[in-house]
Amino acid sequence: MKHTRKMIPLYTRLCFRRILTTKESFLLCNQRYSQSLKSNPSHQVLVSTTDDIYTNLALEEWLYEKENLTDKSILFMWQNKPSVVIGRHQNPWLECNVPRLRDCGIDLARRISGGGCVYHDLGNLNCSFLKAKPLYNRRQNLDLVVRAITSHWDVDLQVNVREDIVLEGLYKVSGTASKLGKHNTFHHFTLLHDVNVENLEMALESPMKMGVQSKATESTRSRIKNLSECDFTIDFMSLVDVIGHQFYKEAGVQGEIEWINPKDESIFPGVSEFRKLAEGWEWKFGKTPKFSTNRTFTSDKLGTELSLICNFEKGRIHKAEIVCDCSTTTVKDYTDTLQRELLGQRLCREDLNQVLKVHDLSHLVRHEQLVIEWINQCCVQALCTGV
Amino acid sequence: HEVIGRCIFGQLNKLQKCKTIAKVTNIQCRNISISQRLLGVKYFTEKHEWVEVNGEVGTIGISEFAQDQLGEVVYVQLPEIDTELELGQEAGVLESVKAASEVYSPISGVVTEANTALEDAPKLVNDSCYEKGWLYKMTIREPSELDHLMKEEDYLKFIKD
Repeated sequence: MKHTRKMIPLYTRLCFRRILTTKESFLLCNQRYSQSLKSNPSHQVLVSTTDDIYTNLALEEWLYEKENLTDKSILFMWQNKPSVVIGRHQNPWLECNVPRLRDCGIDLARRISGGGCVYHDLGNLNCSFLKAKPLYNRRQNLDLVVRAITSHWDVDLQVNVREDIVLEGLYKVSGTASKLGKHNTFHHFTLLHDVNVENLEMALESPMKMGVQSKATESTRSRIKNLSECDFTIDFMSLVDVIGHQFYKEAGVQGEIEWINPKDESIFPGVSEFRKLAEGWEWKFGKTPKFSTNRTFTSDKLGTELSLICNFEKGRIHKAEIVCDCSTTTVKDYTDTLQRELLGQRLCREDLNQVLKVHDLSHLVRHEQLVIEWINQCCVQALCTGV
Repeated sequence: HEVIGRCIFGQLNKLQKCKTIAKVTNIQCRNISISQRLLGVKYFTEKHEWVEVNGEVGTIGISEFAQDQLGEVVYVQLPEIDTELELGQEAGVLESVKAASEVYSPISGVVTEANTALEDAPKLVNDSCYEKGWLYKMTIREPSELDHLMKEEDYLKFIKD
């Protein structure tokens, strides 16, 4: 197989890759999937026709919660337009650049599985192995994928002790996480084939690094490389094809790769409810473990120092302590009011804009005006929501 | 008036008698239920949770077998106080390096306390799963639910199999 691929001329290879478009595959297979659910096959490979992260995560959760996996194992694959996905117990403000993601239209999502923060775009393949608890085995899934890839392309790929898939012994091309329930489990992981590394680095650089104490789980950063840098024919379609067929082969069964619409309520009744929750602020940000920030700002020009301590619970300001060493009553009143008004506000632009807006300070003396404006700017900087 | 008075008085008397009977019966029942539920005894589920009964409060945790399977716990998500839980309902999540595993409530009741020490030291679940690594406490709404759980000797046999 390996040699045949290399010998076929480039032009022909490009043609073969696009034999069936996404839509055509979907139309062919959608009906087959709903039929196969009734006949209860032992193994299924499903591929999503959407690139929306919330929709795809919703379907994965639906399969985990609703499917009877006692006599069935599912491999679900999908890709997303640019998104950042954090683990169940992570802090999005510490793991990525929340205001920047918002400004760039990059979605932020929180998984139900554990693990660290990852950046997705169309150059990343997501694989999710859904199995019954007795069959849960992460190493087996990762080895399957490595075998699938290395048998089709000349690539140095291995699984390391941390259960990461590593390229050339150095570069991480996959991050893994799982979820264990009463009867069902899933193990999912990313596979970088052609991700935009510059965007990844920008998205995962948090501006809220200083002075923060947090109980949330942290990510482990690694050097990465795209699989397509080894062989440009490695892409979403070819990976889906190769991995999907390996899944059936190792199960000793015949099967087709089935393209499905994760929004189809006739096949997945109730899936839209999962999507609604996945997209909501309460899930994405409100589930953040407690954390606090302790910042000190100094202005030599104004000859003042500001201390800002904030405790956050459920993504909201639980306690705020703002102390400025400027002794005037006006400034003291301002910081007292700010402290009071910040309480209970969500750590998001909409809520904080109301509180941190610039007031009419024309009635104050120049020095006080400057101090108050400076205090405002420091708060905006410390809270990092890009107000 | 006298008739009515006598009637009411008669009813009150009856009520008094009934109350006394009820009091006696109650005490007898309570005595029986305490002797069956020895203080400090742990009951185990097939999902490897345990509940220890102390009076009307149950303390919930996970077993040695479960913590070993999980690997090092890095985060513990516990139920909030006053949450009403049904038997078998998801009560929380234990995240380890290997996976996020759901914890199921072994009995029905209302959460009274969560082990906040686990916020700073989630590894207590691994190091002291029967003592310092307890997860949460709850009321015991249906004591009969404990009858369906395993005592320690039976649980040890269960995990051997």
